[in-house]
Amino acid sequence: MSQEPETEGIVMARWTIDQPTVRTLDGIVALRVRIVGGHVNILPTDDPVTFEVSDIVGEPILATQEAGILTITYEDLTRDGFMERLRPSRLSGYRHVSQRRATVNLRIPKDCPVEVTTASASVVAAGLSGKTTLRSASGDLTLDDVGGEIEVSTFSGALDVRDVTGSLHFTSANGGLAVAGGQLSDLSAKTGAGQLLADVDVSGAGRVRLATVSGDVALRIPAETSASVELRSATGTLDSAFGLDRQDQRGLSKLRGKVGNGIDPAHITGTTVSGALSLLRRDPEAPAAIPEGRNGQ
Amino acid sequence: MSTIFGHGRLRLYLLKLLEENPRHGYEIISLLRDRFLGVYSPSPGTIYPRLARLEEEGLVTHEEVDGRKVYRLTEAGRAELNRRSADLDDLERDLTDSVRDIARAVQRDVRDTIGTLREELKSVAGDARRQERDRTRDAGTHDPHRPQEAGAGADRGAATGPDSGDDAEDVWSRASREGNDGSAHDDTWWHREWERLRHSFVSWGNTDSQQVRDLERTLREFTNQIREAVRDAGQLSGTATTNLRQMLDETIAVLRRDLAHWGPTSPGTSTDARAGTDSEPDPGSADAGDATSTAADTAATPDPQDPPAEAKEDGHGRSDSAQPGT
Repeated sequence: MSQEPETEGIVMARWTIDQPTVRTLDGIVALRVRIVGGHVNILPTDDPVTFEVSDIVGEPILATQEAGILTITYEDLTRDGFMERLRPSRLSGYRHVSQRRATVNLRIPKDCPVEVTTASASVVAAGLSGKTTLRSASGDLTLDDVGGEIEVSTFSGALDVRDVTGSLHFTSANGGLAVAGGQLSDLSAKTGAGQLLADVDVSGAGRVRLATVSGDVALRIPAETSASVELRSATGTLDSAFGLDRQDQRGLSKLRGKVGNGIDPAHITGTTVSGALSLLRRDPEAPAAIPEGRNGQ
Repeated sequence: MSTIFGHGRLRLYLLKLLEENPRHGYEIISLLRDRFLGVYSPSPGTIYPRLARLEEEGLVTHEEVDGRKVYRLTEAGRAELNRRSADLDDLERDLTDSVRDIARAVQRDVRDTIGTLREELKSVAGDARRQERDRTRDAGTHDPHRPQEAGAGADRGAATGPDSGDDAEDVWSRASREGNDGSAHDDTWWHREWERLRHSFVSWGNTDSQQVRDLERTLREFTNQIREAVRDAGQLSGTATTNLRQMLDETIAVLRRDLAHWGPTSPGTSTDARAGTDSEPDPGSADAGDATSTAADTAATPDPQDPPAEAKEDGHGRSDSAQPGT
């Protein structure tokens, strides 16, 4: 059951949600979700925004609509600095924070910018084309058919992406990144121990920067790609399906060179400390890594 | 999906769509299709007769605009919608249930794709590695510093580390095993990898002292945090979740800052072998402080883009034991 909106002025609405609730809203131009555990599911729609909150454990969820921004979070986490406010010294005021769970299902316009922060909740988002910002400590994140500008940070959560376009920035301590299919103009991924796997097209003049400490890196690009490539590793294996010059020194191996003769080459760099690094070639006749199961439900 | 629209619910939903805006028939069809990601795709033969019936009932009316019928809700239609608002709530709940269903399907689907890709790249990478070795071997004197057979061996030895086998496949199976189950990393493995990072970094000796100290401290704390987090991961207790959250915040900031500076020094920049002599990876007892100050004392101007003329990580010569041994 939700309380009736407490309207403050014209554009502000608030709902305190402690029971499964569905709402339909007009005029949403941006979405912010900050929850702890549970699930966040986001799908596109041309209709007015729908949100549903269910499986609520712990504190009630607070949803607000203000100036076109739909925010779904907790009463005591509404201000900026979610993370900041959760430092131990400030934690005494937030009892049982970590037990909180909720499932948040959303349908939003596809170009709506989205910012989701979770501690352990998983996030699934599909069909978005605006700016997508995801942060999670341990939640696993899944993006399908997402374009535009994508920024993802995790501690240990993995990011799985399929059919991506635009730019993708991934930063993680322990989480891995896997990208299957799509075309990126800017791919930047940094992780400590996570694996980085990507099978994508790289736009002309695009940039790919992959770095890990111990995680293995495998990048597969179309055979016809034009790019300047530099792969470096302190102690990891380097290999390439393209003809690149190898330089080995103590504590540093390099593979570098040019791939293809296009006029607008991309720039590809890979750096690891101990992770293996592979640059692979996808032959023209081979299908991109789009699988058996599209829409196979 | 189609059961969602049993018992007159499609009728109700049509009223709802028309309450939001006057729409023409095709718009209604495409809205329904989009809403269900193509899973429910009503035909004109379904929609137009229903609109006609709603009009007979006086709930909607239409006007011709540019030769198309644009339907709008009447007052009677609005009243009907209000009268059935409870049903509408139920319907919307079911609709968002299907958001969850679709999201689950998407997640499962993407995971399958990634799994397939992972397998595929694993085998292709193995091939590429073999080809690379063959190429190196064929090239013969391609790299005078690297004897052919030993070169291939060092390649693999370096990657798999001192206590893994020689088989390049090991790297992949090890990595995917550890990568797949997310939090359940082996404590020892973690420690070893982070120690290795620290030593590699320090031995590159290419940053100013403050930065090295920061990194040292960060990594040391981080290693400990990770070990604790891993230990607690089985039963995500309140404390563990809180700690994870904190670590996320700090780690991201730290990674952002430090990763930008990863990398070897520029050619001609001096590196100091002393850093290397301390860099024996010994996860159990490595003393970060010593290594830090050594590197810090001899630090040169950082240039993250360029490699060092020579990185003196190893006390050993070039051989299979490129990573000196635990």
